[in-house]
Parts: sequence; C-alpha cells; structure tokens
Amino acid sequence: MNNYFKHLTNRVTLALIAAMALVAVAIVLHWVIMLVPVIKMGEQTKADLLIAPYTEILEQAIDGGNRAQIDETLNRLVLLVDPRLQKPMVVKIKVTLVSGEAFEKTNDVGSGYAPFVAETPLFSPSTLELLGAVQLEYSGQLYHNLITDAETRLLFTVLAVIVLLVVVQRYVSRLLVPLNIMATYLEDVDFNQPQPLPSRPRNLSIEIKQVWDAISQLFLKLQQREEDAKQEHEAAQEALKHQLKAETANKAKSQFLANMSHELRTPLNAIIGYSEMMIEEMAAPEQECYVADLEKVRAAGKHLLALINDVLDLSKVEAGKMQLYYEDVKVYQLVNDVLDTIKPMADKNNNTIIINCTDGIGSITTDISKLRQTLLNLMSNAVKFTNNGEVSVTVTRNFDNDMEWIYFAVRDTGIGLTHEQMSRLFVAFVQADESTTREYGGTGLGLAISRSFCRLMGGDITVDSEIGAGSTFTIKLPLGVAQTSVVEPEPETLAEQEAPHTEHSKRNIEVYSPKVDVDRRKRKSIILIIDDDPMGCDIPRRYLEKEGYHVECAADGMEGIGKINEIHPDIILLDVMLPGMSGWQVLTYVKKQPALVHIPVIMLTMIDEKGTAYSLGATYYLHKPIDKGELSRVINGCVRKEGRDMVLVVDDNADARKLVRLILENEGLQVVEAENGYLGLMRVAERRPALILLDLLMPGMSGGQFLEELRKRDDCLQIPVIALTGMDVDDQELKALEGRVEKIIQKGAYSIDQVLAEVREIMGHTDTQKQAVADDN
Amino acid sequence: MLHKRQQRNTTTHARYRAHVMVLVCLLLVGFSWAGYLMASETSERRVKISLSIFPRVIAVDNHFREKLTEHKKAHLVFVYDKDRAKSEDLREQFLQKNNSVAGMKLEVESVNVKDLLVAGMRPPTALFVTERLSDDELRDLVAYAISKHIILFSPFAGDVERGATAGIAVTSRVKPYFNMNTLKQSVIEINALLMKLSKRYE
Repeated sequence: MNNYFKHLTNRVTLALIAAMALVAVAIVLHWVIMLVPVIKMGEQTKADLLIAPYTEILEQAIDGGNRAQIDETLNRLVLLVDPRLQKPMVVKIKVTLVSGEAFEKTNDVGSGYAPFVAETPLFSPSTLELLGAVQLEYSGQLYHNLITDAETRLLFTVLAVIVLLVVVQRYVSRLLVPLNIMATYLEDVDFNQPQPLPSRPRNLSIEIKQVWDAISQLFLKLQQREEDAKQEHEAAQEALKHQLKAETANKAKSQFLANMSHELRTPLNAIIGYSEMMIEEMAAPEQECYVADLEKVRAAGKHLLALINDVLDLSKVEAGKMQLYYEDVKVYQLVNDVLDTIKPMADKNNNTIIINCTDGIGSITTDISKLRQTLLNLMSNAVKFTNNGEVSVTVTRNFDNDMEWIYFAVRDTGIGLTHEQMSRLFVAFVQADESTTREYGGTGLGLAISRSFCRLMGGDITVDSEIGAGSTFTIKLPLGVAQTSVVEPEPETLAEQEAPHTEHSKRNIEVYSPKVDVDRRKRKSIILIIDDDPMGCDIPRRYLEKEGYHVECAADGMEGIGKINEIHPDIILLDVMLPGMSGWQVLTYVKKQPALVHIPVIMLTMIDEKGTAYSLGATYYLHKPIDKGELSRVINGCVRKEGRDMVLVVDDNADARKLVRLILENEGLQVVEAENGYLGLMRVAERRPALILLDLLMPGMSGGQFLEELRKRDDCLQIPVIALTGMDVDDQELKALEGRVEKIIQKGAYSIDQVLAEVREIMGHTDTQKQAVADDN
Repeated sequence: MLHKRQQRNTTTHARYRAHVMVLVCLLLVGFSWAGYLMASETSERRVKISLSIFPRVIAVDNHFREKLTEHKKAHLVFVYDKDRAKSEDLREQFLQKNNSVAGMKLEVESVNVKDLLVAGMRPPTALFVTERLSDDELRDLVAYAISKHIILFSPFAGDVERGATAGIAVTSRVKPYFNMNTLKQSVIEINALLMKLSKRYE
C-alpha cells in the first residue's frame, strides 16, 4: 500500500515534470519556428509593399531628370508614421543611380533596432534600361515591440504553465502524501495494540481530511475497544480468580460440612441408637426414671440431628448440589404419615388438626422425602405457633397454564404475620421476629429450605397471613416430573463424594405386607452388615438379632466381599463410605456376579445418593441414623420368598410403569418396577414374581434379551411373561416369542379391562399350576 | 423470407457504396479541375506581368547590343508548343506596351518550339516562353539558349529551376529570377546592380 502511493506520487510528479517540459519545448519551438519568422516576414513584406507604389514615380522622376519629384517622393516616404507606435516607419530611403549619383533621406528614430531593408531596381519607362535602385530601410521598432510583446507573453505563458503544473503537483501531493503516510502507518500498525494516527498534516484537502478523520476515529475506537477488552479481560481474570477462590472456599466449606456431618452424625447415630435400645431394654418398673432420661437424650439427639440436617440441606441447595429422586407418591398416605408425626406436637399445644384430603386425591410423581420434609416443616410451624387453635391441611388439584398442579394448604389460627415479617420469612437464618427464636426456638432455616425444595421440584410456597388471625402456607407442585430440576449425578463421581444426607425418606414398603410365616424364614436368614463404624454395625446387629436373624459384620469392602462369597447372605446391609473399596464398588461387584445377583442389597448410609444406589441395583436405601421400625420392615420385605401376588413391570417408560402400577394395585396386587432388563433380572433374582409384564423395546437390554437371560435360569422357567409392545410384531418375531411369552399385548390396542382379564387369567392359571405341582409333591 | 431480406440488404449496400464511390470520384475530379483552373489563372497572371519584366531583363544583359540583328533590331521570339493564338495574342500585347528596348527597335515573332529547334534560323536576341512546355521541350530549349548564349525567359513557376535562364519570383513583390548555372553556361553577364536586387537560383 505504502509503495503503491509512493510510486503513484512519483509517477504523478514525473508526469507533471514531463508535461511541463513538453509544454515549454512546444512553446519555444512554436516561437522559434513559427512566430519569429512569420513576424519577421510580415515586417519585411510591409517594407516591400511600402516601396512598391513609389518605384514607378521614382522611375519617371529619374528618367525625366526631375530632381524635385525625387526629393518630394523620398520626403513623403520618410514622413510616414506607424499609427500604432506613432513613430516614423522609414528609417532611411536611398536612391542610387547607375551613374553613381545617390539621393538619401533619413529619420532619427533614436534606437538601434535593425531595420528591414527593401530594395528594388529602377528602370527607365521609356527605354526600359536600368536606371538604378532604391533602398528602403523599414523601422524594426514595431518588429522589436511585437517580439518583445510575444516574448513577454511567452514568458508569462510558460510561467503560468509552470505555476499551474506546480499547483497541480502540489494538489496531487496533498492527495497522495497523506495517503502515503496513512499507508505507511497502516502497514506498520499492530492491530493488537493500535495507536492513534499520527497528527494530521496541514493543508489537506477536505476529502482527505474526512478520510483521515474517519480512520483516526476508527483507530480511536479500536484503541478504545482494545482498552475495553483489556479491562474486560482483567475484570474477567479478577472475577475468575474470585470465582476460583470462592469455589475453593465453597469446596472447602462443602468438604468441611461433609466431614462435620459425618463426624457429628456418627456419634449422634450411636447416641440415638443406643438410647433407643436402652429404652427398650429397661422394661423393669424401677428403671422407668431412667427411661424418661433416655427419652430426653434420644429427643435431644434427634433435635440436634435435625438441626445438622437443616444446615447441610441449605448448604447443598446453595451449592446447587441437591439431588431429587422422583417416585410415585400416594398423597393421602403421605399426608397421614405426616399427620402421625406431627400429632404429638399438636396435642402438646392443644391444637386440633383437620385433614381435608381423601384417598381419591391420587398420586403425584415427586421427591417424597423432600415433600414430606416440607409438609412436616409447615405443619410443625403451624402447630408450634398456634395454641388452643386449629391447624388444617387441605389438598386440592387444579389446572394452571395447561398444567395440572397439586396444592397443599396448611392453615393455622395462630399468631399470624405482618407484611414486613412475611417479606423476610423465606430468608435463611431469619425468623419472623427475633423474639421468636427465644420463645419458639428453631434455626430459621426451615422455610428457606422448604421453599428451595419446592422450587427445585418445579413449584413454590406462598404465604397469606393476617396478624392475630393466623396464616396459610400453600405448597404448589406439578403433578408430573419437572424435568429441568432433575439432577442425574454420575455414579463414579458420586461414589467418591461424601455428601451429607438430609432426608428421612422411606420406600413404600407397606405394599409388601408379608403373609407368609416370617419366623420360619428368619431362622434361615443371614444378614451381612458391611460398615467401617463399629457402632454402625453393632446397633443394627442388635436390632436384627432380636428379630431372630443371624447377623455377620464386615469392617470394609474387601472383607465384605470375602464374607459374601463365603456365606452367601440372604440380605446385605451396606454403607457407602468404606475405607479402600467403597460401598458402590461392593454393590457393583455383587450385582455383576451371577451367583450373588439375587441377594438384596440395602444401602444404609448418611449420604444422599439414592438415585445412584438404585441405578447400580440396590434394593432399598435407608439413611442413618437407623429407624428401627423402618429397618425391620425393609428387612422383612426383603427376606427371600416367592411373590405369589407380586407382578414385575419391566418398562423404560416411567408413565407406562405408573399406569400399570395403578391398575394392578387397584386389583390388590403388589407391583415392583424395573426400568430396564438388567434391573428387571435383579428384581427377579431377589424375589421371584408371579407374573412379568415386559416391554419388548427398551434401550440397553431389550425385552428379547431379558427373556433369553430369564429362561437360562431353571427356577425362572415357569414365570409367565406378558409381552407389551408399541410396534407391530411380524411373523418372524412372533415365532421367536412363541413359547417364551404367554401373551403379546399391543400397547393402546387393548383396553384396561382386557389387560386385567389377561393378567387375572394368567395368574389364576399359574396358581392352579402351582397347586397342581404341590399336590403332585 | 430471411434470404430475400438479406439479399435486399446486400443490394442496397452495394448501391450505396457505388453512390459513395461516384461522389468521391466527382469530388476528386472537381478538386483537380478547380486546382487546374486556379493554376492556369495564376500562370496567366505571371505571363502578363512578365511581359513588362522580360524587356527590362534582356536590357540588363551586358552583351545585349551584340545580340541584335544585322538591322540593329532586337529579335525576340515568343515560343509556343500548341497554342499559337495565345502566343500571338501575347506578342500583340507586348508590342503595344513596348516598341523598343534600350533604344533598339523590336522584331517580335511567335515560333513553335519544334520549328525553332529544328529550323536553322538565325539566333534571336532572347526567347520568351508563352505556354508551359514539357520537360523535354524545355530541356532542348534551354540547351538551345545556352548554345546561342541568349536569354531564355519563362514566366511559368518552376521553369527557372528546370533550367530557364530567367523568370520571375513572386513574393510580396515581383523580382527577376535568374538561374546562375544557365547564365554561366550561356556566358551571359547581367548588370551587377540588378543581379543584386534579383533572386538567384544557384
């Protein structure tokens, strides 16, 4: 670019110099070749023409010897004056005769201009003989003046041309030189660190000024942008540093909380567990005073545990690490569950609890533990802040924005809240009134955690209150799964985490109401507890031994696996946080061994990784500290038995599983779900179902593969299978399924009644078959 | 249809070209004729002016009197090639203006150039060409003049350059015009004063 403008400038300058030289040469040549000779010739012609008319007069005068005539003629010529110059035209006129005689007249013109000479012969008019000659010197002043004028004009013309060319050259330079400077700058400019254009040269043309200013502006903007970008980069770096610092601090905090939770809950677990055991063992009347004390110890332990759980919950919510585990929840049952828990508190304050919820309210899909915790929190608040009043729970379903929602409205007739109190009600660590803490206790975290849970589940909590008249807290939740709030952790990552547990959830194990002889089974059942904490092993061992089970303990994963292979326990109670091999690794190992896969594994841990546990094949998930009753129910439900009324539904579609569950449970059947073939085989291994409803098209292990694996087991050959499919089955596929399934039902093609009829028929048939086999035996 | 239209176009173009060619030829002929007429008119003027200058030129021949006839007359021959009438007309005009040169009586006649060159007539005092001669005729005539040491005066432009002894040079005024080589070969001496004032072809 720079060279281009430099060359252009040079070329233009050279072109102008050449043009100037050519013009000068042309003018000079024109002057020398054309003008001077023409003027000279013109003057000479004038001289010639001037003498011509007088020649004949002079010839006659000379021929006649008339000297006066000659003199007069010469005088007349000498008198002639140039009208332009007003000076004599003739400098000298001379007549020379053949005889040598001469006549001459001169004018004193006072200058040395060379005259133009015209000379002509004189002949005798009578004899035609040569008489002589006349010579006229015509004044050269006019010629001189003309030449001077012409030279002056020429000079001026040349000067004008030179000036013009210089002006043009200067103008071109004005155009090109700044462009050259600009191009030089642009060639050398570092666009990563743009500097402003050098100061603008003076005397620029308007157009170049505009271009210069525009580019200057551009560079200023570039510079500004660069500075902005630099500042932004620095700010981002600073923010990143802060973020890293914050993340490090947060990680440290999380780690601290995790460690603390573990360290705090481990002794709490022991305190609560041993106090409960001691309460049970102190049955003698004289020991009743100790029982009351132990109850206080247990209550204090549980309260402390609840506080720790609150703090940890809030920490997890703030860190965005709170996980949800969705399952179908029977609302009526849940509300009554919560009512059972809250009733002693209500009675203490002499409150009446009214439940406006019927069994027909149905089920919702949500994280039951978090919903329960939220409901408990609202109801405990309601009964806590109400004395001699009324606390009601109203559950309704409604459509809003094309979505179906469920509303839990907890209303009390308590002290109520002001607007100001309501505004900071859901702020963590803040209670409605500072005096509240003193009077009613609590950490001020409950409502903040509850709202976070509800929002995490796609809903919210709202409050409506009037001071002195009471308050209404309403939980609003979607009936289905709020997809955006589901967190699916990776098992490998989670296996290494030590997240604190926060939930008090329990599976809906009530559906497995055992009808067989439990005592008979207990005598045969061996339970292996794998826990590195001696107390974590000792407490459940004592419970379970009282129940009649044989209990073995292992202190770490490796020892646990050794014992599993050695004694083939009926049930495994497994902690996650184990030294060396983690609980997840033990679970994975068990569920990969064909000889062990049937053993139910119950996770018993402080961490909150229910999703991970179920995805790896755990049968149940229980939190520490152990709830004796819950542990007992779960263990009794897992004792290996034949599920005479149990139907296994293997389908990857959660809605389809839910629908089948609803239909079959209404028929009084027990339903166990598995979301893929692999988990289905585990469930079969744990407890032999009476019927399997199998979806043929599933990701991972398909229905066909499931059937192949199922039929490889001798004890499973008799389990009837109904195949469910959403696709058309061709003849080849029918042939492949023939003999392996009892019935093929196309989804959507059969009514509910038809499906139920098929199930009833097959199960009835199966019972008959079994009866026949029993009779044969 | 297309063929006919093309044919018609071709015919029209040919006709147009023919018309242009004819027009160009007419213009060329016209210009040539105009040029000839103009040249002819100029020649006529030169001839008429020369009728006055011719006697003055032969009068300044220093040996003029040696070239007179035995009757002491100046024998002047108007030479023509084809146009005798014109030559005669010019002779008449000459005689009306001049009846003597340097005091010598005149004997003027019109003679065809071929007759002049072939016939063994006595040499005249001077020759005057009344019409433009061909190169050969002029060359022969010049040789004749040189051999007889007489002045061959031709008023036609370019003849002095072709060898004629004298003629006229027309600029802002009319001057006598001499071929110095022919003069030298003819051994003719011209008055020095006039020679100084005349145009010379070296």
